[in-house]
Amino acid sequence: MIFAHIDFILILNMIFLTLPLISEVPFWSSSTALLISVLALFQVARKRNLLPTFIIQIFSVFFLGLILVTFKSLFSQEASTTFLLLLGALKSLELKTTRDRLVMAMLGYYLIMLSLIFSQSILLIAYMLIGVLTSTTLLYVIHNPGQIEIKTFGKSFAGSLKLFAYSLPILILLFFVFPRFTNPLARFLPENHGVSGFSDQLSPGDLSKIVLSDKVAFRATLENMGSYSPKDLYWRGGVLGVSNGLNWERKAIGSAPYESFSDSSPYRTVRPESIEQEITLEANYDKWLFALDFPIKIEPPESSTARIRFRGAGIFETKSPLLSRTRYRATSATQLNVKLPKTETLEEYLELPKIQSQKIKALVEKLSAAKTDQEKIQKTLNFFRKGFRYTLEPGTLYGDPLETFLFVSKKGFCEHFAGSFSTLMRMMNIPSRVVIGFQGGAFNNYGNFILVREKDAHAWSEVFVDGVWQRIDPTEVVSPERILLGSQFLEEAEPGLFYTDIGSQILQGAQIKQTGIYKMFQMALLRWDAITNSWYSFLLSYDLEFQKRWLAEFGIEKNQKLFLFLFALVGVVIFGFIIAFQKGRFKKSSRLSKMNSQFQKRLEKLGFMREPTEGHFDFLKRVQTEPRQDVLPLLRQYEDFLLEVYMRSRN
Amino acid sequence: MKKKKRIYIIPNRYGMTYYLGVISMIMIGATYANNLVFLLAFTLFSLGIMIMIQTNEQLKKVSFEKVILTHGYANEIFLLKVLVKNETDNVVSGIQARVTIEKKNFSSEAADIQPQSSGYLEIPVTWPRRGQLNVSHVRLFSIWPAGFFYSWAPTKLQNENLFIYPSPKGTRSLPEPVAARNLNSDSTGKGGEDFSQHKVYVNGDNLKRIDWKIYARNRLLQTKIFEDGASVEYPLKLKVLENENEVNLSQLSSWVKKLSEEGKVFSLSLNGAHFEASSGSEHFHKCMRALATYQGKAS
Repeated sequence: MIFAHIDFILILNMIFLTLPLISEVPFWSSSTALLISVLALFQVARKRNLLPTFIIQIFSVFFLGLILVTFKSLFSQEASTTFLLLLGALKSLELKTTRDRLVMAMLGYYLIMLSLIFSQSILLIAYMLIGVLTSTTLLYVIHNPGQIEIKTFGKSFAGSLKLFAYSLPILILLFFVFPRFTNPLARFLPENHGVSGFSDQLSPGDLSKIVLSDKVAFRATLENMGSYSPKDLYWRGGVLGVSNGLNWERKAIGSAPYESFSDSSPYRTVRPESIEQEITLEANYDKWLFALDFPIKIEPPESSTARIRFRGAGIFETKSPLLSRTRYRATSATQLNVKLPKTETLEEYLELPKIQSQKIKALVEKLSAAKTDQEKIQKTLNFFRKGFRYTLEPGTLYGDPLETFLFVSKKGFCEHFAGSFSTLMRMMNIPSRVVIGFQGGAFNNYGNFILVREKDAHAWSEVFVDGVWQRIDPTEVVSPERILLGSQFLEEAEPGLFYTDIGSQILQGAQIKQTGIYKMFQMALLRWDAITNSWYSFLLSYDLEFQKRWLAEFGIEKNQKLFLFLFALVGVVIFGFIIAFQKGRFKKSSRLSKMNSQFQKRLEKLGFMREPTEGHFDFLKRVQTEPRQDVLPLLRQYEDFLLEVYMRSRN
Repeated sequence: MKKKKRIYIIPNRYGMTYYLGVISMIMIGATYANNLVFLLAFTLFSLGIMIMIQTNEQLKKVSFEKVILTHGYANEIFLLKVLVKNETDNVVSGIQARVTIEKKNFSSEAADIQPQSSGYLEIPVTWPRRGQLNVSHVRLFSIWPAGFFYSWAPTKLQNENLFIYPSPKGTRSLPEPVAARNLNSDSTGKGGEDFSQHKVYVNGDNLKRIDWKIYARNRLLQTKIFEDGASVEYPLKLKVLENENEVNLSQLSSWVKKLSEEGKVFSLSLNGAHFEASSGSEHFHKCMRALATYQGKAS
C-alpha cells in the first residue's frame, strides 16, 4: 500500500494553486513563497520542524513590512495577493493541528479567487474546478492526520466530485438568480496603483508597469453597433489641460467655465449628424460621464436625481459621485462639425511648464520647421513612428521624464504618447490638450451592447487646428494594432476572447496564411474558439442588466422590487432544494423494502393484485394459499432473500 | 412506536469561517463585477449546503441502542461503550458519541459503522473521585465530512448509573487470613495458586484438579492440592484502619481488587454494612459499589 502524508499533499495543493499568481506579484515574493513551500515539503519529509515558531513570526512581520513599503497599502489587489501568498507559504511551515490544516485548505479557495480577479481566461474555469475539487478533497482527508493511504485520497476525491455534482443545481440557479448588486463598500478601497482604469491625472513616468483590469466600466447601446470597429469608438470622459511635461493634470475646479446644464446642448453642430447612445455606467464613485467623442448633449439618468453639469471641452459630470449603476442617454457629434461655444477660450491650452532640456528644444525647432500646423503635426507623428515601441511595462522614468521618454527609453503606453505629444504641440504654439476616456470595447451578441472594461482605458490628444478641435491619437502611430483591436491586442496570452467582429476578422486573416491541413486545423480551432467564446462571454457579462431584462417580462421593473424578488427567489430555491433533497434522498428505501416492491411487481405480472387495504405480508399469505404452481419458485426465492437478511441482522 | 428521532445541526467555527469567506467572496465579486468570482463563491456556497446535508444524513442513518456502563476507578481512564446501529446499506462515516456524566461531557473519537450492523463507540472517561454518578444524556454527533457542521441527535437516559470505585492505592499489607468457615470449598475448585502435593482421587473431587499427566503415565488418578486455597478467608474491615477515610477506602479497594484477581475469598465490613466472605465477580462489584458510595465516618 502506498502512503502519503496529508501535509505533503496540502503543500503541493498550495503550490498548484499559487502557479497562476506567480506572474501577477513581484518576482521576489513569488520566488520566496515557492522557496518556503519547498522548504515545507522538505520539512514534512524529514518529520521535524526546521524553523522555530518565533522565526516564522519574525518572517511574517518582515514580509508585512516589505509589502507595506513596496505597495504603500495592504488592500490593493497586488498587495493583498502578495501578502496571502507569503502568509500561506509560511503557514505551510507549521502544520500541527487540524485547525492549521483547515486554514491551509480554505486558503486554497482564496488563491483561486485571486487568480480569477487577475485573469478571466477560459482556461481558468477548468483550473477553478480542479482547484475547488482538490481543496475540497483535502477537507475530507484532513480529519485523518499523519500517513494516509493513497486509496483514501481517491475515495475522498470521488466523494467531493459527487458533492460537487449534487451542488450543481443550486450553483446554476444561484448564478442566474443572485442579484448582481454593487458593493457599497468598494469606494473605500484604495486606488489601485498601476492598474488600468480611469483617473484624472496622467503620470506615466511613475509607473513601471500597469495591470489590466477586467472590471466593467460601462455598456453602451447604439444603432448599428456591430458595424463599429474599436478604432471608431473613442469614449470621451475628461480633459486634462495642465501640462507638466510628460505628466498632465486637470485644471483646478473653478477655473473652467462651469455652467448649469439644462435640457439644451451647449454645442451647436454645423451639420445635423449625430449618434444617439444609451449608456449604463457602473458605479465608479466618481463624477465622470462617458460618451462617444464628441458629446454634445447628455440627458440626466432616468431614475436618478443626479444633476448633470457641463464642464466645457465636451465634458459632462454629475454633481455628486456615482454610487450606483447609472443609465443615461447621450448625443454625440463627429468632432469636426462642432462649433465652439463662446465661453471656451484657447489661451489656457497653450500654457507650458518651463522646459529646461536643450534636447527637447532642439527637437521642437526641427519639427516646427514647416509651413502649416497640419504639417507640423504630421512631422511630429513621424517622429513617433520611428523607434518608439508600445508596451505595458515601460519601466520607471528617471530624471526629466519627458526627455528620458523621448530620447532614451522610447517605449510606453498611451499616456506616454498622448502626454508627450500634446506638450510638444504646445511648444510649437498649437493649442492642445489630453483627453482621457476609453477606446474600443467588445460587442456582445447576447446583450446587444458594447462592453467597455477598465482595461480599455485610453488617453489621446486634441489639437486646435483650422478653427476646430481635432483628435490626434499618437498611440495609433506607434501601435496601430492597439487601436484597431482595442485592449484585446494587449492580451496575447488569451487569444480569441472578446474579439469584436472586425477585430477577430483581422486577427484571423493574420493567422491563416498557411494552407492545407494546417489551415483546416486552424479553422477548426477558430470555430471552436467562437463557440466557447460565445457562451463564455455570456458567462462573464451576465449581470443585473440581463436579470432586469428577464424579470421585466414578469412585470418587475423597479430596482427595489427587483432585489427583493431576487433575494426571495434565492431563499426559496435553497430552502426548497434542501427539503426536496431530504424527502427524496433520505427516504431512500432500504434493500428490504426495495426487494419487497420488486417482488410485488413480479407477482402483479402473474396476476396477483395487492388490495389497497392489505399489508405486504397479508398479501403474501393470500398468494401462498392460492393453488398455483407458477408462483412457487418466486416465493422460494423471496424466502431465501428474507433468510439472508435475517442472518445478516443477527450477525 | 418509537419516538421520531430529532436531529439538530449548526455550523461550528470552521463552518462560520467558511461561510464568512464565501460572503466576502460575494462582496469581492460585486466590487470587481467579476462573474467568475461570483461563480466560485456560489460553488463554495452550494458545496457548503451539500456538506451540511451530508453531515445531517450521517446521523439519520444510525440509531442509538444503549450505553454499556462499566465501572471505573477514580483517576484512571476507563472506556464507556455506546452501541450504535446502522440499518442502511451504506457505511456511515464519522460518527461520534458524547455522554453527559453529572453535567460533564465526554466524547468518543469518530468511527465508521458498517452497513446493516452495530458498532461500539468507545468514550474514554476519567473521574477524580469515587461515587455513584448519574449518566443523564447520550448524544450521537458528527462533523463529517468537512468539519464545518456539528450535527447531533440527543437521547435522554433514565436512571443510568455509573460507579466510580475508589482508586486502588495503599501500602499496607493484607490482614492475616483466618480459617474459612466453609471447609468444603476445596472441592469447588477455588483455592490458592501454589501447588503443594498430590492426593488420591476420591469421588466428588474437582475434575479440573486431576493431574492428567500422571494418569497418562501410570493410569492413576491423582488430584493436585494447592496451598493457601479456599481454606482461608481475608476479613477486610474499615474499622481497624486508622488513616483518613478516603485513604482507607483506597486501601480497601486495592485489597478487594488484588484478592479478586487472585480468586481469593474475602469478607468486607464497613460501618453499618457487612459483606459475607465470598469470591467471584458479583461479590467483587458488590463490595466495590459499597466502597464507592460509602458515606459514613471511619471510626
